[in-house]
Amino acid sequence: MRANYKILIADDEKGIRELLKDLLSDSFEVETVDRGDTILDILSSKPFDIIILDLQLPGMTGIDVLKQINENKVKIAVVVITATNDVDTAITSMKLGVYDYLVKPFDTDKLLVIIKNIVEKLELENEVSKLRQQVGENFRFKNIIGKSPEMQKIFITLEKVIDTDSTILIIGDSGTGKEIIAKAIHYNSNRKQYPFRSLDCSTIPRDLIGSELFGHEKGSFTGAISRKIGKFEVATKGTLFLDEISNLSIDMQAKLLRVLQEKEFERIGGNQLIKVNTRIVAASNKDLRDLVKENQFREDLYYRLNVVPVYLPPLKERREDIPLFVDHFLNKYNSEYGRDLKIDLKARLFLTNYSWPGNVRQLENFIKRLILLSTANTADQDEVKSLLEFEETIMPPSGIDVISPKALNKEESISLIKSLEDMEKEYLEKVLRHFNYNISNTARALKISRKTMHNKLKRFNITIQKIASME
Amino acid sequence: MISDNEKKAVILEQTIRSLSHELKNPLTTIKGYSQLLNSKTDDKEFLRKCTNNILEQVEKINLVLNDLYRVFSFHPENITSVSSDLIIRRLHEIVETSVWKDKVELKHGDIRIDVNIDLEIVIQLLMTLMRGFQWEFFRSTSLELLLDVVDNRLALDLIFRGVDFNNINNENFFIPYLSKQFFVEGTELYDIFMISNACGIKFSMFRDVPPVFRMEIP
Repeated sequence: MRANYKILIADDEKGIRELLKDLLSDSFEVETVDRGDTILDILSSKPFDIIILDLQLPGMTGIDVLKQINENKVKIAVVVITATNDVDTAITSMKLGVYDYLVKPFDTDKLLVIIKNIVEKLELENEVSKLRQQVGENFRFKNIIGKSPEMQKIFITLEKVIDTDSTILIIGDSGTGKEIIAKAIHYNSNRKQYPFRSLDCSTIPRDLIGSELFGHEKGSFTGAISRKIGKFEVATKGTLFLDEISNLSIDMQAKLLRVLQEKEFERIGGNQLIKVNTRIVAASNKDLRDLVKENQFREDLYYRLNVVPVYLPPLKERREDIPLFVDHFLNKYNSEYGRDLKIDLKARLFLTNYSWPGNVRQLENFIKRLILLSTANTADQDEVKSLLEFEETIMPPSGIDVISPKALNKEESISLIKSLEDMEKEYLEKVLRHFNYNISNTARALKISRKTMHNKLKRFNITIQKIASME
Repeated sequence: MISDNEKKAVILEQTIRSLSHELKNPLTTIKGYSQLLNSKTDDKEFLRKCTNNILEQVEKINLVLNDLYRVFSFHPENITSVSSDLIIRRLHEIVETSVWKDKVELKHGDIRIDVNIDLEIVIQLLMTLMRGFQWEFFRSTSLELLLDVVDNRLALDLIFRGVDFNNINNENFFIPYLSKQFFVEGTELYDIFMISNACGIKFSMFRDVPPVFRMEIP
């Protein structure tokens, strides 16, 4: 065990204080105290990680000391040692947050195991705290890409409201970074040490969304085999991000409104009111005012959510940020894939002037794909343009690698009538042509192995025309 | 209404609990150092310390049991007829010359009564009480000694002002170690109760706010 954990031994019996000091001082910094009424002063003057506390102390009983530790929110793990072996005292102590409870005369080995477990728990907590801080650092406003005037205005607005607990509604097209902003709000606020949870209301089936938000009791519906804690409860004192909030059913909107107003709710199938102190950040890629007019969104909920509206501009309206994003994603994915791809000036200019209908997400996926597929050290404008045009014809602007019928032209939509095998062959030929019949690059783009690629070429009777490579 | 038997059972339980707590502490030290003996067998200094601590605690247990039993073999030897004037004079001397004279006050009316006591024992019991109280931790406490005649007996009331003996009442005050929060040894009230009993003096607690103990001397 590390020696930098501090333990305070509180017992009026000199023999026990000496015993525990001899037992623990090899591995810990140990101090002792013989009265209950001086413990809080000692704890406020220097930090201790663990206290071994006798319940029978002169000046103030151990139970009263425990109550004061709780009231003053002193962060310390408590191990109670007592000569009393009754259930009531044990229950009272555990309710006051005691880590463990030993009855005298106790086994010193058992005490050492308890201390070891506490130290492990403390080390885990320290690590979580450090990780949380690191994550938080990534989301500090100064570390978020947004030098454009529009984004700077958003940061200024957010800095004014982040510690006020008011609900924030983020409106922005898909891929503009709504979740990033939601996380920035959380990790720059005084809620940062509490959980951040998100829920995409468009991906959860409507009949399950209530359970996701509010949790459910065991047996409340078919399949509810145990109690579930919902995101509202998990994110207590923290932040709950509700993305695509326009997808909530009218019933669920009513329930959400009630929670926002009353700050309490019941789990599905439960009858206990649970208080919440969760900050809501909501987001939508649709204008909720239009949905209100169409009676698809409750007006009262809209006004409740729209306390602080934030409009995230599409990427094409913040072109100053595009070079910063390009550099950021180049660094990120070059490091991830062990590459060192650069982009020349003309190509960068092209990227800056491109429309980016899929916004930041599309840009990120593009850079990732470019790094994976480029065989050059520096990508030039032609390569960048070619890959972008390929994406425009084959893939939808959201950057998701799925062929959508909307992305196909008239001739291609007729070919939908063809068999799947024919479609696959056509698609394969198209991708091969794009990559100049380079089998490796084609296979990588299609996310299949070279062996599979060869099998498909054989199956579809495609002959590779060897031409000069783009390198 | 609690029956006498139930009251006795409660007293017995509190006594055992109180005594158990007092004995478990040295037992914990003995057990702990016995286990530590195996841990540093090449450190002679530490082994010596372990052994000494174990023996010290064994002696402590022995003392606890002896102290508790000692009072049963007490017999007063010098019971004589003593006037209340003499008692008052002696009490004044004790109070004026004690280190707690700023904390202790003697009050009495015009009392004319003779009683049968061993006066020195009464003085010793009073000293036990004053010496044993934890004055340094209960700084605002004062002790009033009130001498009066009640039911044709001389009553010495010991009134503690400014402290709340929250776990002690007229039914359990004599249980050894129960009052350890307020008295150094925790056996002061037990000793006074048992020795008073042996001397024919009724020692009781008859009010708990402020705590008042009364010696009724026949």
